[in-house]
Amino acid sequence: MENEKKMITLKSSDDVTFEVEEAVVLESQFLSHLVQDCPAPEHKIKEVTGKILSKVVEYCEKHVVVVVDGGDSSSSSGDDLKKWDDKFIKEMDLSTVYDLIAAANYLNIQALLDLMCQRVADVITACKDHKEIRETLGIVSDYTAEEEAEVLKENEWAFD
Amino acid sequence: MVEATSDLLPSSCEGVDSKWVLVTTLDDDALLSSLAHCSLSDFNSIALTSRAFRSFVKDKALYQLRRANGIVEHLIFFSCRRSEWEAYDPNRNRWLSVPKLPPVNDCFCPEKNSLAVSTELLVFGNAATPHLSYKFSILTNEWTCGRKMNTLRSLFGSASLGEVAVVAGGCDRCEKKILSSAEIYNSESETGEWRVIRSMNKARMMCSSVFMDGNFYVIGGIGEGSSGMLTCGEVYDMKKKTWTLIPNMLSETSSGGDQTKETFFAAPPIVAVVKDELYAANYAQQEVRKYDKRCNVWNKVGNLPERASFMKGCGMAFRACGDKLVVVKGPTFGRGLIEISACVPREGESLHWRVLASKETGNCVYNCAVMGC
Repeated sequence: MENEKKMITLKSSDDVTFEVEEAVVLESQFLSHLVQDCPAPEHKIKEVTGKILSKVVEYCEKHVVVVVDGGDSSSSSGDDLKKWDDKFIKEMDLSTVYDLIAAANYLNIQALLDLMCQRVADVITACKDHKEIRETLGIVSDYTAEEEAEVLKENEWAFD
Repeated sequence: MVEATSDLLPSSCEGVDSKWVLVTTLDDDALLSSLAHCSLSDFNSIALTSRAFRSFVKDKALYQLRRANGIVEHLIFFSCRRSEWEAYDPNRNRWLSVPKLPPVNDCFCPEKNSLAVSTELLVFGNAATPHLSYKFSILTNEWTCGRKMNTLRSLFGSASLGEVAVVAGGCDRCEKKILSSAEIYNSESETGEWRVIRSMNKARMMCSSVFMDGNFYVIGGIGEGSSGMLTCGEVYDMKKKTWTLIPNMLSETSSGGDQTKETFFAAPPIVAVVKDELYAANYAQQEVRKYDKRCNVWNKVGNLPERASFMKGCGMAFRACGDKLVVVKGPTFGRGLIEISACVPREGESLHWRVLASKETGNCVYNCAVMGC
């Protein structure tokens, strides 16, 4: 029983299919419930595109606890996983990050959601001031000049 | 480079260069989670981007989320003059200026005891003005009046954990009576009021307090009817809401022949908790000891940073700051510097202190509190 890996097929909104081990699917709270409640071999995920689902699958496959031949149970060590995560998000554009946040939210994969939110935070932290944050994240200021001066004053204590 | 203006921005993110992708396509929860991962020092710039982002970083929900996710940064607040505070951000190695206390309070004399609870700094009035207290919020950058405690007290023990603070004991102003009563404060409650909790087993003033393993500890102090120092501690179980006495916490339980132990602890004992381990300092002996919870004994783990003040507690503070012990040291004789040193206590290793920052000042450190949020 244990030697036999149960495979499950996930189909994206644009009909791209991914064949994955059940253990990979269990990384997602949403999918674990789905496969338990409805033991079909294939599951269509209408809310996620193939491009994004491939990223989700890539992430979950890396993070799943691997059962190695011979019965030893191990997952990638913390340091390795951290390095892998860093590489995974490094070159990702913000549009993909946002889509992955939406997907991680929907599929309920907390660790992926945290990683993507961290990426957005890193982008903000890398900006030198509020103007660069606006530009990078596409935020439109709705402040009047007076209001902006007021907010600046409110935060003045933090600049010395 | 073209400056971002509203008419240049696309209304949707389809088919455009990724740098124009609108962060606002994220829902509020995802936005809040992303902001929770940012550094406190980014919050000012974030607030300046737009009204919506300002309300995010001024919302207590953001700090609740940071707490839930175990994201915390520390700010070391200290005061060298009665109505003046400043702060140091060890994360970004920068000094922060805090507005002066409102000038109406000429008569306000602060207790040496201050407290940081979530995003608030609480400063209490001393025996002459126990009815007064002020709180500074890093969200509004303003001082406001704090709510009165149910019992006016000074020389009490106090500590905070997350959004909650507890005060215990102290002395009553009028009768000079030593108190056993205790009160709790939640910085996120609507009213900001103090609620009375069960009283301690023993009345005590000039006791020290810490949170350890999620519970509130009171240590030593001066008890009723005796001029001597109490050697017992007490722990308040935050879930069961009960006090348990810890006998001989500050005294020799076996004949260990350690003569220095009796004189190691002052009233109030100088204590700090790092990673649920309790440390005590003695300024005169320049020594730091760690409490062994199982055996109820104190073991020496190292010394205070070199040249720590000889002025027996004046001009110096010993606090916990995340995974570090910190010492904020005022000017010693002839030296006009305030110096912040830190060390990460490690099992089996002696304390290795490092100076984080120093700054010119005229006065000694009167008051100090470490905020974590």
